[in-house]
Amino acid sequence: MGSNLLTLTFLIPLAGSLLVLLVPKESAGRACRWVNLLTSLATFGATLAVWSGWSKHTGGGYALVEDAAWIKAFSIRYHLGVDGVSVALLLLTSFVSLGGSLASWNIEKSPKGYHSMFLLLLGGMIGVFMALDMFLFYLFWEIMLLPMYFLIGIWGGPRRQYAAIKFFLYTLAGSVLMLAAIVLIWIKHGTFQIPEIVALVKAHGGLFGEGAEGLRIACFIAFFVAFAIKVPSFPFHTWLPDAHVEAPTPISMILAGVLLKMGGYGLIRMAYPFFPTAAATLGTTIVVISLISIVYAAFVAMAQTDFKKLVAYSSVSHMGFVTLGLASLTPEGHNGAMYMMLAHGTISPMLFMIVGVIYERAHHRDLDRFGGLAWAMPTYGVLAAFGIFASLGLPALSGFIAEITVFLGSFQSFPRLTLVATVGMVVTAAYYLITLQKVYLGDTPAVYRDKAHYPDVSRRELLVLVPLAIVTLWMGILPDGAMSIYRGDLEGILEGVKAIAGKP
Amino acid sequence: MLTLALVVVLAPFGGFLLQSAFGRRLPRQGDWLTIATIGASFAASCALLAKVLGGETLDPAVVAGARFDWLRFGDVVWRVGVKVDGLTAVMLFVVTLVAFLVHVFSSAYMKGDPKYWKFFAWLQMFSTSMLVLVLADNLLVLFIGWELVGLCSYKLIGFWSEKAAPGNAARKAFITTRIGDLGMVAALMLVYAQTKSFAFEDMFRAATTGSLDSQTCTWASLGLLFAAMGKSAQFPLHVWLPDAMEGPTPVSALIHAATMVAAGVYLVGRCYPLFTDASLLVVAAVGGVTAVMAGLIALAQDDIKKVLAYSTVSQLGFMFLGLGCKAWHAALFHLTTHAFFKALMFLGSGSVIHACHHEQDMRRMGGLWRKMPITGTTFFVGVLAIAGFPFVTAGFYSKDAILAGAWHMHPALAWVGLGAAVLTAFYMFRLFAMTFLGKPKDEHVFEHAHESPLPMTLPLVVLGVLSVVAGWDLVGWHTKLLEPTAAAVTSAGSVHGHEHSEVVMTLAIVAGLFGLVAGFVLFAKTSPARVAALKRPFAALERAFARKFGFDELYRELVLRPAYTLAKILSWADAEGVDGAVNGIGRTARSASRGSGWADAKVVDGAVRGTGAAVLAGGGGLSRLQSGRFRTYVAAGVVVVATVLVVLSF
Repeated sequence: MGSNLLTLTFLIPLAGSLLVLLVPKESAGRACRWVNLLTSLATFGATLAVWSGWSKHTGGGYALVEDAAWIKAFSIRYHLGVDGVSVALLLLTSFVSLGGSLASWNIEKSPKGYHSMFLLLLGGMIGVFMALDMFLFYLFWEIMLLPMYFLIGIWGGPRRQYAAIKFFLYTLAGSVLMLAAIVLIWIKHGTFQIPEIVALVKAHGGLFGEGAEGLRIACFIAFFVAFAIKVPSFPFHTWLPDAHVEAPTPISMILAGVLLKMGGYGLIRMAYPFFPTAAATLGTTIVVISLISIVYAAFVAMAQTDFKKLVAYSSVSHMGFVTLGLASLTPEGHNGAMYMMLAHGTISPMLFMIVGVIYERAHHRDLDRFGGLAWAMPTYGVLAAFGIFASLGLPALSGFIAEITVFLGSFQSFPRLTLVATVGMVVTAAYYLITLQKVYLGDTPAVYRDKAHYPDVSRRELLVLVPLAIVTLWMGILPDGAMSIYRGDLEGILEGVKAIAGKP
Repeated sequence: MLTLALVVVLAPFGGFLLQSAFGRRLPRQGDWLTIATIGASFAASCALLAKVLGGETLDPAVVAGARFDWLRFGDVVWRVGVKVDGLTAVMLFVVTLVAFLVHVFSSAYMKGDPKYWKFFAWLQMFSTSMLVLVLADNLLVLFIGWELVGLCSYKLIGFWSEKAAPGNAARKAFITTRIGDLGMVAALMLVYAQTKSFAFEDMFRAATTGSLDSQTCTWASLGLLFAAMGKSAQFPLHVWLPDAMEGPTPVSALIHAATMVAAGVYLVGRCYPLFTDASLLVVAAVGGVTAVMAGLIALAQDDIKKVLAYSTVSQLGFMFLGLGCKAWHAALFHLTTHAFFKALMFLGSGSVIHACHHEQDMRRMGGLWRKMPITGTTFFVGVLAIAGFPFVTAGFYSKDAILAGAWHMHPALAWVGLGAAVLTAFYMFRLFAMTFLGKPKDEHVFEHAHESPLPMTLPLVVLGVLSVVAGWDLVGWHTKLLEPTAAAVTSAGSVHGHEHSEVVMTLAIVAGLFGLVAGFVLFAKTSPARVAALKRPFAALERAFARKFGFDELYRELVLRPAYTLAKILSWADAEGVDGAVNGIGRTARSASRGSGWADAKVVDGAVRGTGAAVLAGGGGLSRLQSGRFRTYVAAGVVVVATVLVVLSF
């Protein structure tokens, strides 16, 4: 092909990251955020170009491929490429980061470091979604870990260090497992190339040869745990509430909107297609884990008094749909799982921004101390209600499509367990409506009537929230638009998995 | 027809968008705009009705463009579209007409409310959602409309949620109906797993040809019933509807009497081919129990709207009884007549409440007929209609048809219905007597009472007329609209639509008149002291009725409290158990690394400091990063990475 579009796409934010460091100290705050915004905008433009380049690609497989030898000794290649699944997630990444960049406008503490880290993070995330060499994938995975760690650890709330360490070590533990599995595959088959490995699976009915089912299951578990930590699935989820509570608003947006999706992406790209038989064998286990994530996290959310922690647990609950849908091995389940990633990827940043708006004004997030904000800040109230209803799965908004398709898919494979999972719908409605009432309805305490300290959403905040709301609405009414980006490739992956897993 | 159907639903949707965007700035805050759009929707509904009477239907399988591909999965395509048959046409007419009248009524009733414009915007959104529900040609889109009417109901019950009570009532309504929705989701999943389609015709074909086995049909239909029980406030999910009276009265009339709560009946009626004999028996039982239970509770309520609310629950129970007894036509017929006379009485109560400065306690009313002749007279028509006053009122015909169906099924079911009918007539006359007859009980309230303005009385008159004429077969309402649909959805031979049994009719007349006369004697002709003396032996019963049989307390103890406790316990377990384990592992690892990796830490530390400094040039956070604990953590992390890299290189 000769196109370097993908390289360019992840180099833009990295270049921006360096550029921020060159900004003279005196004008740091202003200049840095502009550099960040323009870089994010350019990155968004680049992902649009990737989308267009990909859609011109015919003949299936990966588009815009760049493949060159890199570390010959270990047969590591610089191998990039995108299919529909990656394109959808790349668009999500750059879109949410654009919002995050705007939400970072009022970062006061060492802006140079912050914006540089922010862009480094963006570059890492973009890289993850287009790496086709597992080593490269791992590298990008670790690259984005570092800035995230600093962004929480330096710019976070009072317990930021604890949260950052926890995030770091937890993800690292997962990375180690993933790395072990990657190395094992490399030792056995001598390649890090994802397409090559999938072809091997197809040709031989599985990796590691005959009779190595135990090893395959072990490797699948290693991948699954690594990605389940990121998703996060019960019982690997406890880093998330802490990370969210401490992270600054824009970082929470990116954490929930994009980082969690890397877990689901890893499952789709590697865990499932590499080890179809193991995935099928462990299907029930995965469904049970998903089910616990959905219902358990919803109940835990109900008991929270910190607004942000509540939204964090709701993320755990919603991301349970991703693993539930994948485990079903049905077209509805897989498409729904991916749709949940996109829907949650836009709704949860919106909710974190909504929490951020009020936190910035009130300097607390205690649900029991709020009240009547819908009357004090009317536009804010409308947007908050929109976000809350989107998250609780109201039809005509994207979350509904995701939930219902996952349910319809997983019911075909696991009817009884799926019925239990539907209980999550009621618990979710309960905790969100309680929150809506506590924070936005009822009598407005006198403090919040003070217009000077509690102005309605600013134009910048609207600029963050409204595009997310529009996408949520669009994805809820005409879901085929977003789904058609990834459907073909995702169903291709699923076909491959089912072709192998179907064999006894 | 397709264009008309689209006008029906898009006119109020456009109204919602315009009203939300500009309503506040328009003259009269845009009420005229929304009245115009809902009027257009009504006009289009009438045109559709005329076409259906002329023998046309809109069958999406035939008409090009009535359906489009919404989503696809593998080889399965989810197609969605609109469908108009006799049942749809009747529902459209009823919904748009009542919605139109409620809009007009509200323009006077809600005058002066600070959120006047918003009220109309949400009325428009409600109308849109309800029409989506009715026009859908498949269960999935019906479910979408179903959820959206729930949202609008939430918003409108909680319209005055600056106060706590409306907010609580709105939440209770949403969550209770969502519990019911689990049944809908289950039904969707069951049917879809086997047929890979949501279209009504595909589902029904599968049910009749047997590709949906009868066990699946039973479970799916019970799921639908459960959803309907939530939406239509049937026992044991009825608890939200009385609380929903916290909403403005026009909302109670439109959503919580005439349209949304009847959606459950519509759902069962629409999906009738899925119902097996076993599930129909459950439908009948739920309906019968609800009709009697709500009737008993209504006896002991003193808030005018609460009486009407329980009466709605009871009447909806009647409809379910009819559906369960295979009297499909009768049940849907009762849905339409009930929509008219119950909307009439709710708006009438609104007129009274408006006149009495938001007094809702009937014990402080009385003698209002003189002061409010139009309201009083139309209300009386409504009372006669709901009591089933023979031969004149619409309610008589529809109720009689249900009782006839029940009799045919099993006389015991008919006796349950007759019992409920006596209760209905009795408590409705009690309401009427306490409000409009006798001496005024509160001079202050009476003093201020006045007849309401024309925008409020006119809808009452229209609905009053309809409460009478809707019982006749005008323009082929039954023979051309409901009966053909009934024949289509119910298997041949099992329908007994209009079959009047003389025994039942006589019993129905006696029941209605007995209730009315008893009410008249007791509440209009007997002194209050004497009534109190008569009631004394039944004090315990009355308390039970007044307390609504304690369902709220029961649910609080059995559902809400355990749910909150579970949430607390799980939250604690999450922090102490799951997270505690994680922290424990972390601590162990840290002490291990402290013991063995002192030298490494030194080396690695330098590296970390170097990277940190490079990246954080200009960042002030570095000094904070160097606190000991943090350093140990980073060291531990980097040690792991280093180890892995070492392993890798072998």
